[in-house]
Amino acid sequence: MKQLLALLVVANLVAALTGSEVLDRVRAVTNAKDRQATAAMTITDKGNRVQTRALRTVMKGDNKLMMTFKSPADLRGVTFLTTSSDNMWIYLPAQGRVRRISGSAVDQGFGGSDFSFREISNLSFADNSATQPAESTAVDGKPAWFLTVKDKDGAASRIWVEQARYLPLRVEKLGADGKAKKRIEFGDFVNRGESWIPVEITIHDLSRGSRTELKLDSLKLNTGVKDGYFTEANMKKGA
Amino acid sequence: MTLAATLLALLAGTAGLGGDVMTRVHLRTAALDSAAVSWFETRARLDFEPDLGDMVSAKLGLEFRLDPFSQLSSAGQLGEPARFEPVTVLLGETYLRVHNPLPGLTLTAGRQLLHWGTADAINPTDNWNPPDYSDPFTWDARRPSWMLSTDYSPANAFGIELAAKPLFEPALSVPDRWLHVDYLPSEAVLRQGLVQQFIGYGLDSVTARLLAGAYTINIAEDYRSPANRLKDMTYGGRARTHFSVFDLSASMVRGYDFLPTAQPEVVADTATKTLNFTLHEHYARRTIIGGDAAANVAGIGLWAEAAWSAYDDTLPEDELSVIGGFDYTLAGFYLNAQYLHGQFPLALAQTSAEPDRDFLLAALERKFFADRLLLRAGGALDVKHGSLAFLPLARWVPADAVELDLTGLVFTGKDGSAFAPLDANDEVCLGARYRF
Repeated sequence: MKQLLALLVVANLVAALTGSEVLDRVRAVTNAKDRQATAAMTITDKGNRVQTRALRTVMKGDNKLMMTFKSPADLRGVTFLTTSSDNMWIYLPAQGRVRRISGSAVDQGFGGSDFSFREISNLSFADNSATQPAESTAVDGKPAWFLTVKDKDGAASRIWVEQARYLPLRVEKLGADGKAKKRIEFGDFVNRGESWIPVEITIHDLSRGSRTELKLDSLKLNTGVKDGYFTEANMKKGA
Repeated sequence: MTLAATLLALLAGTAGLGGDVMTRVHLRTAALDSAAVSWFETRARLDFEPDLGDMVSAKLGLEFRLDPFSQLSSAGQLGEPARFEPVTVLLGETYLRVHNPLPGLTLTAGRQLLHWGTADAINPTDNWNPPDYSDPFTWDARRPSWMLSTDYSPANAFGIELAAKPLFEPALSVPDRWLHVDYLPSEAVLRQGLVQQFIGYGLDSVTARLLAGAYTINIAEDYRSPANRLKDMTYGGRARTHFSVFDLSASMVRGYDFLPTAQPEVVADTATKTLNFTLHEHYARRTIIGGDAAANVAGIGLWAEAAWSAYDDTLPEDELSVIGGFDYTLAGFYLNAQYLHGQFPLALAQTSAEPDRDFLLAALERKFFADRLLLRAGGALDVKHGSLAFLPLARWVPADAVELDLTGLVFTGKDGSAFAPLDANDEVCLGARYRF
């Protein structure tokens, strides 16, 4: 009887969570003061042709991000910097200059991948707000929350969150017609202190039939990266 | 070249070594029966960037340019391979850079490229490195210069750059083979000028010709390059900031034009019957005050850039260059359009008597087949005179780091228009590039 009561209490607590509360917990669990990593990006197109990229990434909080391509040769040194969803820049070594990424270009492929600049800079859901209450569901047999969120430009997404640890499992980016255009899957979470960081992120472009896998390696958290790191001068040096 | 390719392949495996190999051939298509190769170069660029840790970085760059046009002028030179395949070796970026000796401070000493401005390809505020017009297809290429530069960026929202360039280096001009420009008049042209002058004095044409024929004509060029004294060096600074969705910067550079100003001097001595023509060429000293802005408004990238050049001498006249533009992506199409008031960045445009022109530059491009194929239609319109430069491009990327280009250069324009000197230079170009 006590067990049933406890389950009912938990169920009521669970039911009482709003979409925003779930989203806040996801941000809290997956956040870190700063993080540095190398990354391997694998792009597989519709015809199963594979391209690979190597990157180095430095992130502070959930909105300051610098990523530099180390390979292939035609992307070496290309550096992406964002400090908010409105402020993104790219350094192109061939041109020797830093350029602002304009509104429409933020939806273009990042380094030829299926990630857009907007998506790669918002993997921690900093710009999302929940529009509906969280619904209880399941993913691969695990209890999960289902949320519908919008970013500040009004683009809608569906998010599935593991209930036990509040880890994001899957995101579907919706088009204007309400249909899923891209699907992002998070996996292989690494636990460091209070943070759970996904080191495998895969995005599927459902209309193009392609996918991009991003695998983080040599992950370091909370090393004391300063705000002053995220500057134009450091873009030329590279992350 | 086989040896060079082997060397490149070996070096490509060396840590910190990168670069590219590019080759392109231009076929001039004015008439099929006289179609000819007008430009054909293979360029190999090697950049060595050793890993020196977080505090220091360095770069050593070399560029090899192979011109396959034979420079043989005698059968006696057949034993001189340098005349078969002339190779030019240029020093690329070669510098030492110190990062964060103080937080946010970067110091760079050596041969380097320093780009300023936010506009696309044409930057009136970008006046540090001499233009490299040697490739007629690339309008915005620059050669690195020896200089000291510093960038202090204590925060993302603010930065200051200061630089000084002790040596003057002029622009590299377009090859004479591609665009022949007579810098000096011929003796015949000057003698004809004398004839016209004498006719203007009231002499009949026969007497005028006889009299002009008696003149000794001397043609000379007085070329002066800026001295490499400290007080003649190029120096300047720039402050940049951003707030909200705007990037702003203001700059000042005290330096020189990269192409010389030509002032002809003609002295006729009736007593000795001598005509002395001297073309005085000097690089005009100027102060350039500039500013630029870039923004992201309603999904459209906007930029504007302006520079006011105040010359020390009366020639050339002070001038204002302004460019504004936008880019936008819709349904996979990328549109880029700019309006320029000022000099077009091409060597031939500098030869024009009318310095200020208004140009509309636009490009529309789209990628296909998972970004493997790029099609672009782009060009520049001389608004006032209606002449046009059209540059279509098809680029196929069969593998990472490999590009195959099919491009065109199409020029139209009546006399006096910006692109009139290129009216006969319509070309089809085939190119390939491999980066490593």
